[in-house]
Amino acid sequence: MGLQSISLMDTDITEMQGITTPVNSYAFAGLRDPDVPGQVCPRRTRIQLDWMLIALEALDLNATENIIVGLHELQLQPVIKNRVHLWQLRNTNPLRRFSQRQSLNITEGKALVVLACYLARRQTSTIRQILRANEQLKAQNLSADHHFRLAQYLERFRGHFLSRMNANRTAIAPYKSSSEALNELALSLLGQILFCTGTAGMQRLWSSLFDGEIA
Amino acid sequence: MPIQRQYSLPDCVLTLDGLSNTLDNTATGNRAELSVLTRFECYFAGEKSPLVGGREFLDELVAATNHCAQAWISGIKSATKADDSKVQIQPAQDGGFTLTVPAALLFQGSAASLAETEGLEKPAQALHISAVQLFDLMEAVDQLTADQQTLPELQVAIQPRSRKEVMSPQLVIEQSAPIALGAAGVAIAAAAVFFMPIPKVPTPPKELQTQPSIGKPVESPAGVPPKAKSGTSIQVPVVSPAAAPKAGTASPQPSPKAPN
Repeated sequence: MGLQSISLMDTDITEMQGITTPVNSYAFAGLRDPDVPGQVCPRRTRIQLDWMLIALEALDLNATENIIVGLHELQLQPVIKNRVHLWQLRNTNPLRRFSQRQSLNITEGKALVVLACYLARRQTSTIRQILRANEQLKAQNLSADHHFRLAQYLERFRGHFLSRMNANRTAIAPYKSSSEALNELALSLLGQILFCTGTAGMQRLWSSLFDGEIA
Repeated sequence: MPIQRQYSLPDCVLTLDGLSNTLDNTATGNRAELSVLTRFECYFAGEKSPLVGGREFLDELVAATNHCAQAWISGIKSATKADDSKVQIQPAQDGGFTLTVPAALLFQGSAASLAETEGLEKPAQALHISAVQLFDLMEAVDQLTADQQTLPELQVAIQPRSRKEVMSPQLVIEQSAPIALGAAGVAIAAAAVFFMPIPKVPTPPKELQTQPSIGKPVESPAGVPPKAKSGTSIQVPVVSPAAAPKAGTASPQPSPKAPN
């Protein structure tokens, strides 16, 4: 029993060491460790990262598969081992229905940022197209239903969001009652995702996640 | 040697004209380094004329773009007040942005500086740009700063803003309001209680206050045993004056050492 517990501890330590020193450090190039207490991602960071991934999933039906492909391409398996681990990391969002009461460390946060930017870059043209369509529809005082791609994105986002977020939380209550508020959130997230597709998009997203969180 | 560099995105084009301080190394296959900027042009799709300025305009546009992009991605507004003497990019009501450039930063020939030549007051040049145009501007700026052969000293600090930069004084007041309200409530309650009269507690008669000490005889002046309260189980021994020991040995007053 004692030997078993020792061997388990050893495994955990090596896994932890694997997390702190990822194999592919190139993927995290330019992402500086912020000076946050405990070196864990704050609440706003966890919410924002998860919502951005939900928006990306609403944009691309194959996003979940693409995330797994991205894990291999970017050599992020030492940090995010598999689908379940990814699900656990995303459930660190406190507003989720099945929220995990565990923290997201800086390395895991970086891995999610790298993944989000990887997915966003694949969808750059679609994002531009949707945002442009939204501007044109606003100028003509038309609803989002007049553009198929935009309407489809908004509908998918509303579905994903409401099915995954805890409706009993105060922060979710406004979105539960009003689809307009949810549409605005979806478009605002899309605008933010567009800014992550650029040359320094990853650095910009990473630094914005800690805005106002450092002393 | 005059050099021109262009950073072209679908909705925004930045053109830099300048000179090179270094020796011509194009023969070795490298691009010449643009180290001195003479003219900077920023053109947005849909606008009639570009914004034309110098190094100061470029520096301020880069700083304003960086600042605005950071605030847009994080969704947190900055607490610092807008400075009219600098280039600003502020979010507009319709979801777009307003780019304001002071006329002092623009060269002759730009729309704003035309008014100056006509003897009018220098108005700031204000453009309405969409989120996609702002992204193109940001991307062009990022490409420019990443290019080591064009103004290598031009860098953008992409870093999270501190709590002080984000927290506006108004927000501090809003956050401290409940604390102040609670403290004021306690103070008012304390003042009200202070002026209230102290309630009079009815003092029990002295006879009841004096508790007989257990184990010591209690004298009864009339020789009548005191009436024990119904329900009390303590039986106090009563000694008549005749059977009492000598005066001075048994005090009628309770002993100070008696247990309470």
